[in-house]
Amino acid sequence: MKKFISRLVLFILIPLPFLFVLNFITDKGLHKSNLPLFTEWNDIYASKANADVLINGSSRAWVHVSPKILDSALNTNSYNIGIDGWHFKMQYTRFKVYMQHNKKPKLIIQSLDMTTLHNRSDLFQYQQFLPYLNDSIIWNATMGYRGHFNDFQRYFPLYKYNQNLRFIKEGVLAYLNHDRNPHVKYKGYQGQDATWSDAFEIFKKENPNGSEVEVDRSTCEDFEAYLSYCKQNNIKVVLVYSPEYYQMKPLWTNREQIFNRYRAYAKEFDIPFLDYSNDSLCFNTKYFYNSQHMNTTGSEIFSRQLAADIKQYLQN
Amino acid sequence: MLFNSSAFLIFFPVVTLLFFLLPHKLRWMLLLFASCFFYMFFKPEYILILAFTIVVDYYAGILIEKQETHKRRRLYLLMSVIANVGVLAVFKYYNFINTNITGLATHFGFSNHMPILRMALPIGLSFHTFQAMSYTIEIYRGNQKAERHFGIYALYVMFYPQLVAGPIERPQNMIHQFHEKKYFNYHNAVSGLRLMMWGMFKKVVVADRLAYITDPIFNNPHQYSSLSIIMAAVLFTFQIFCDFSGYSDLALGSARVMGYTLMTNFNDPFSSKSITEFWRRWHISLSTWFYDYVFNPIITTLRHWGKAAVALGLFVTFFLSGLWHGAGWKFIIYGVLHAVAMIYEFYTKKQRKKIFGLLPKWLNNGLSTVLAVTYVGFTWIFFRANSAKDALYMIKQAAGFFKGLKANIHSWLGDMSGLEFGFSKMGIYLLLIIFVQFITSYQRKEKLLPSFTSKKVYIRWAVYYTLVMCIIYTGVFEHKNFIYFQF
Repeated sequence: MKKFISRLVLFILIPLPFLFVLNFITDKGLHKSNLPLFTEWNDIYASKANADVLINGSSRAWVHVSPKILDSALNTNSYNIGIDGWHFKMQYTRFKVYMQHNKKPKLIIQSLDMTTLHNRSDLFQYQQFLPYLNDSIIWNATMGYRGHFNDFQRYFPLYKYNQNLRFIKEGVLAYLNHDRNPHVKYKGYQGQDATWSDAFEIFKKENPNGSEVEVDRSTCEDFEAYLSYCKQNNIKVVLVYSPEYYQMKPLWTNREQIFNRYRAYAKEFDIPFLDYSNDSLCFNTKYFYNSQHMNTTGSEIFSRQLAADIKQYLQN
Repeated sequence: MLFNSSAFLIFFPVVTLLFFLLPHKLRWMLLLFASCFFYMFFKPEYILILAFTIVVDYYAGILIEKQETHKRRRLYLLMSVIANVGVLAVFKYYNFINTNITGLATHFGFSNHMPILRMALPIGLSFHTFQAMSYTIEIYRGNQKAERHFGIYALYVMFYPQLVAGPIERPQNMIHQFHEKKYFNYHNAVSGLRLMMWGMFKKVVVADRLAYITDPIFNNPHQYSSLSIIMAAVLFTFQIFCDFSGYSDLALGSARVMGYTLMTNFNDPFSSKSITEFWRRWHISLSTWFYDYVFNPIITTLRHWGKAAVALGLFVTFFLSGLWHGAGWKFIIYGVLHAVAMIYEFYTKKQRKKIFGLLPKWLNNGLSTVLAVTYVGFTWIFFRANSAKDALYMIKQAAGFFKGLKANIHSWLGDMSGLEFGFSKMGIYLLLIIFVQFITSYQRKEKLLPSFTSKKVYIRWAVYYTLVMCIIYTGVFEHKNFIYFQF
């Protein structure tokens, strides 16, 4: 038995140093990779975001608000940390990580949508968290979702890249400064050169009676904690509801209830709520690629308008 | 507990280590406790059903042995069989029978007020019920003495490696092993772990990966083209083999590490040249169970019927085998299709030999294998489809493949893009299937192990590392159940 156990231990130990080194190289490489999935996290962790004006929110923030336009109009330094597919819980997590590694912003543009206060059940685009599983903020924030990570993924070298082996290759290449991925985002923003798709028609067909958004209590508590934190730390917050295609509005069956919540938050924390859901942009499909997301043409017009309104707010 | 779960990664070494550290007289307790824990990991309350079967058959065994008249022995056997089949009838077949009664009653203008039983089927129920039944039958036949040690008998039914998906053991093979003192054996431990590794590879690297393609198609056949349906049927043939034989390898391997020998459940089934041969190579423990306790008694009792007895025996056996797999018409059709094929093979044996004998041997063998495996793949459409209706739809769709071939290929390409199953992935899957089949065939010829173990240690370790790395880094660990757990 001794012989067996010693051989088994040896069998396990021999590859471990190599795997740990490769894991280290992969993580480090991905930390500086240009892969769109990681760029905002990488900028945030590397203290490269360091913004005076921070744009936070979901994909609607990510594709609607251009830091380039804000920077030139407001003569400032802005960064967009909008996170695709996620509601406020993960937006808050990203904000917490931002605050840990970057300077405090003077202003936050908090992009809202109908599902901001909802919470999803699955770990959407879980791959984006892989190089950062050792950070307890990320670890704790990803718990409780369907398909959440386990200790084996956290501690066993490279196991987290199971099913995603291409990231090992990408990580090693980036570590060796051979990253061939182009930088497709500008300070977190990525305009979408897309035209109106049939997604809205499909949605209408599948939901003839519209859709009701479930408000998650714990997400609301997080949202309140976030606004309180900003108030205590003298960070100005502007709540922004960017344009959505007008025909979608009646299909949100509890739209008014959710908007009342946003208005109540604005009142409670004494912050402005800029609602662009009746803006002229909302009535033309040429500015959108689906009911919730504007394309580059729409987002650039909107960003200029937003910059002007923020300027006015700051001047007052 | 699933073999492919992180819990088992802790459970297995702890139990095995404790097994060898404990004195022999305490080992049955450890194994019984571990087996209860293993089973209760799924749904704790179902252990009560298992306990019922164990208690009934334990006493039935002793009572059968004690009786001096054949009539009384038979009475106790009957009671035991009724108790076991009763458990199956209640938990597995009640709703099926009830739904069919409702259907019939409605058809004739009546109504059925029997309530529907709302509970999940206890995991592995058919396996341990059949294993328990073989115990009392063997005592009745005088091939096995009744076990007086309740713990050892309970262990015979509950031994964790084969508790939920077999192999369905016979008392003659297992009970004496639990009485024997087991010593640690280096070669057993190594070959057991090697077998487990191979089983795990087949399960998580091949079977669960194939499920990514087969599951969506079988679950929504109406959304897929003819070619996609044919492809799903072909892939499922290999998926179920890798899934079930993977489980059996894990069971055999984990038992072998502790020095226990379980019966072989698979012997390169895809090299079969007929359906009859297929059932000698596929799920051997179930086939032999049905052979010993259903087919053989039928043909012995009806031997004066001549060939018709065999035909009837085959029909009843495979009808029951289909029903054993699940309570549903699709499983019954699956069983009947195999019965029909085997009856055909039985009646046409001479003629086929004559016709196929005209062909060169290699062509004869190749053609027979292709025909047999294709037929098996066809029957698996019924096995895997969500209902008999879905299966019939799939067959109808697949049959229309040549109608509008160009359009069909175009739709198939669209389906594959939707499933993110490009040509490079197809190539990898194909290589995996060929690799598994190659190793399986080589294993059957008993050439693999002697040549492998005679290789230098660094070559062996390189192979082990490659397999382990494939399992860890490319395996699917989404806690996918083994397909046969549902039975």
